[in-house]
Amino acid sequence: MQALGASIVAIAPEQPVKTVATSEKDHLTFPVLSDAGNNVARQFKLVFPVAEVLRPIYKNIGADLPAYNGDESWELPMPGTFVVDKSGTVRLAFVDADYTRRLEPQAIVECLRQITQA
Amino acid sequence: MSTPSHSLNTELQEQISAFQQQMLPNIPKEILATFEKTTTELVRSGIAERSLHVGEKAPDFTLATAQGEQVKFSEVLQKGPAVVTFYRGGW
Repeated sequence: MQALGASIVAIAPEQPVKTVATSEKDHLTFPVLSDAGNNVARQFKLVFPVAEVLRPIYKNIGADLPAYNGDESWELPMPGTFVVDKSGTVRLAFVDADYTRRLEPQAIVECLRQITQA
Repeated sequence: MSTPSHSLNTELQEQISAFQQQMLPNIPKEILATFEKTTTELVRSGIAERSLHVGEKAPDFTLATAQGEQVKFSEVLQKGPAVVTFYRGGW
């Protein structure tokens, strides 16, 4: 993707002290940005509150969202991937409320090829 | 990256399924049922269909990296297209 001239940015509601861990653990070569209060995710219309029944389960598996995110909202973004062209227009949008489904990276590469060939 | 045992050309969704098959036996049934129920509810709510769509303008924003560097999206776009990916957290 970077070879096709694209920048990559990853965004999560967790505090900077946590994004640095993600960035280093996965040896990421692009910026991982802290979206306090999910303000940017909200503009992409991705934000939802984690169901009350799930909150104690999340805590048990180490996903203590108030500790990670620095607020008591228990809000998360749906995992979403967007390709945005130079003019700021969304050219590919993949959002699934089922967190186990993710976009195939090949779809991003194909979208970027179309953009660069145009 | 974090799954060096998989070759890079394995489809991502296959890798996720393999990981699930490995994890599922370790998770208590009632917890699995809660995950499935709440995910189904979220899918049925239609929230994903209301998210930002192809053809719409992406909002501009400025956010900080862990190192404290401010990244302004419109400046990133001056260099070319961008892939923006939202994840829930490193947990």
